[in-house]
Amino acid sequence: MQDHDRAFLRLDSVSKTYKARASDVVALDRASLTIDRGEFVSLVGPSGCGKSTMLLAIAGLIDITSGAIVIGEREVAGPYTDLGMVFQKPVLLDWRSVEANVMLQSDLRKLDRRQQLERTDHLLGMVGLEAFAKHRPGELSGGMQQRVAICRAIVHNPPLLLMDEPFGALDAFTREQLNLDLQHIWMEGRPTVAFVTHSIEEAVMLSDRVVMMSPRPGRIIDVFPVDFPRPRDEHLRRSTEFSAMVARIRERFDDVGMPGVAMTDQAEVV
Amino acid sequence: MKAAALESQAAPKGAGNGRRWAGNRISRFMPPFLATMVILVLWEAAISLFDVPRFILPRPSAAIALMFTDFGYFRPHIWITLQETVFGFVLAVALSVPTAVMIVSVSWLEKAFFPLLVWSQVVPKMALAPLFLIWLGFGISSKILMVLLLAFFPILLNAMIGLKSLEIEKRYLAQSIGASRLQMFWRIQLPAALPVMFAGLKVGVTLALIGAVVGEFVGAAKGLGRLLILANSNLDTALLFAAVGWLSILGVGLYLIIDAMERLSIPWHVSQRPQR
Ligand SMILES: Nc1ncnc2c1ncn2[C@@H]1O[C@H](COP(=O)(O)OP(=O)(O)O)[C@@H](O)[C@H]1O
Ligand SMILES: [Mg+2]
Repeated sequence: MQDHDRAFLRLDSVSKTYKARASDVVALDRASLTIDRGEFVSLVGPSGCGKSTMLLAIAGLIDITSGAIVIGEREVAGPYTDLGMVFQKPVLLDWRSVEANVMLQSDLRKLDRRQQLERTDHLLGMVGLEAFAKHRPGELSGGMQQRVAICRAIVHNPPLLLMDEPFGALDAFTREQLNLDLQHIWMEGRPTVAFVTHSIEEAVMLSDRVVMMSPRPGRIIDVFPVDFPRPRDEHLRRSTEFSAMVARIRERFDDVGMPGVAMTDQAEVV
Repeated sequence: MKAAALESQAAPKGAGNGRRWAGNRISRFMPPFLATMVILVLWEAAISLFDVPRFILPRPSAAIALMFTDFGYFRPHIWITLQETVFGFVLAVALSVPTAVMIVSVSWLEKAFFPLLVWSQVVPKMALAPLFLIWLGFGISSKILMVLLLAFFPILLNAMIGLKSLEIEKRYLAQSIGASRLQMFWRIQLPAALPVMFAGLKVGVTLALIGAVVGEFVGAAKGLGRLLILANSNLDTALLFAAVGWLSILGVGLYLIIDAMERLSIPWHVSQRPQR
C-alpha cells in the first residue's frame, strides 16, 4: 500500500527492552511501520504498550535494542533534531516566560529572532494564550502549559512532528478546538506527524491512518486507513460514517482482549 | 535530604511585587519577633521570681543592654568573625560549585572522589583545628580554613544533587532541539539546579559562622568566639549572652542576604510563588 518513494519514516522490526532491576521490560516487540512524507499517523493502544517508547526511539533519544529506524535517507543514531516534539508532560522551563519557552527553539537553533517572535505570538494567540505570553509557566493550568508545549513544538515549522498525548490533559471543548487547529497547521505546512492519543475519535478525526498497538510487549496489530476528505470538521464528527469508523476500531480492540476504551488513563503520566 | 527539608522550612512564602511583598514581609517577621519577645519577658520574670544569681544566668535586659551600650567593645570582634565567615564562605562557594559541576559531568571523577569527600565529612573537623593553628598561625587564615571545611560539603552536595536531578524530559527536550553541551549546561541544567543550590548555600552560610567560632575557640586574639571563651572563664554571663546575641544577629543577617539573593535570582521557584 505504501509508495516507497514517498516513504519518509521507516521502523524496521524495532524492539526495545528496558533493563530494570527486577526484570527486563520488553516495551516494543519487532514493530515495523512506514510513514509517508506529509502523512498524519496516530498510534493508539492501552497504557504501557510502548507508545511513548516508540516516539522516543524515533527521535533518537533512547537506544533501541534491535532493528532500525530510518528518517529520510538516514538511520537514526543519536538525537534527531529536525523535528518538533510534544512530550506527555508539558516540560516547560520554569524560569522562562511562556513566550520565551516557545522561543527556546529559536534560541538554541539560532533562528531569525524577529520572524520567530512573530510566529510565537501568532501561535500563542491561536491557542488562546496571548494574554499569558509574559507569564511564567507556574502561573498556568496544566492544560494551558500543554498548549504552550504544542506551540514550542511547531514554532519552527519542523518537517516531522512527534506528539505524545498532547491533548490528554485538556477539557473536551478545548481539545476539539485544538484538533481543528492542529489539522489546520498540518494542512498548511504538511509535516509528517506521529501522534499518540488515547481517544479513538481524535485519532479518526486527525489521521490518515490509525495504528493500533497490542498490550505490552508493544506490537503493531492493525492499521486502519481513514479516508474522510479534509478539512474535517464538527459535521464529520457527528456523522454516521465517522461513528461507524470509530466503532470498527473499538470492536477490534474488544477482539484482541482490550474491552471498551481500555486506553491510556488520562491522569497517568508515564 | 536534610538540606531540602531545611529549605522547605525556611521557604519564604510569597514574593510578589510591591505592596503584597511588603505585607508578606511583615507577616513573615511578626510571629517570630513576638515569640522572641514573649520568651525574653518570661526569662526576665523568672530571674526576678526565683532570684537566680548573675553568674548562673543574666537578665536578658542586662545582656541586651550590654550588646548595644558597649558596641564599641564588640565592634572589632564582630568585624573579625564576620571577615572570617564571609571569606571562608565565598571561598567554599568558589571551590565547591565548580567541583560539583566537574564531578557531575565526568562520571569517573564522581566514582573516584566522591567517596573521599564523604569520608572527609566523617572526620571530626574540630580535631584538626589545633593543626590549622600550627600551619597558619593565630590569625584569620586558620579560621578561614575551618569555615571553608565546614561550608564546603553542604554546598557541594546540594549543587551536585541539583545538577544531577535534572528531569529526563528536560534533557530530551534540549537534545531534540540539538542543544550543544554548553547550551545544555547554561540554559537548562544550571537554572534548573539553582533552587537546590540555594538550599545548600543557606545551610553552608550557617555552618560557616559556626566554623569561624570553632576556629576561634581553639586559639585566637580576637573574634566573638574568642569573647565567648573569655566571658566563660570570667563567669561573665552577661558578656557571654551579649556575644551570643551578636553571633545570632550575624547568622540571621547572613542568612537573610542569601535569602534575598535567592529571591532576586530565582523568583520563579515554586516556593517563592504567592499562595493563591
Ligand atoms: N525508563 C524506563 N525504564 C524501565 N521501564 C520503562 C521505562 N520507560 C518505560 N518503561 C516501561 O515500558 C513500557 C512501555 O512504556 P511507555 O512507552 O511509556 O508506554 P505508553 O506510552 O504506551 O503508555 C511500560 O511497561 C513501562 O513501564
Ligand atoms: Mg506514554
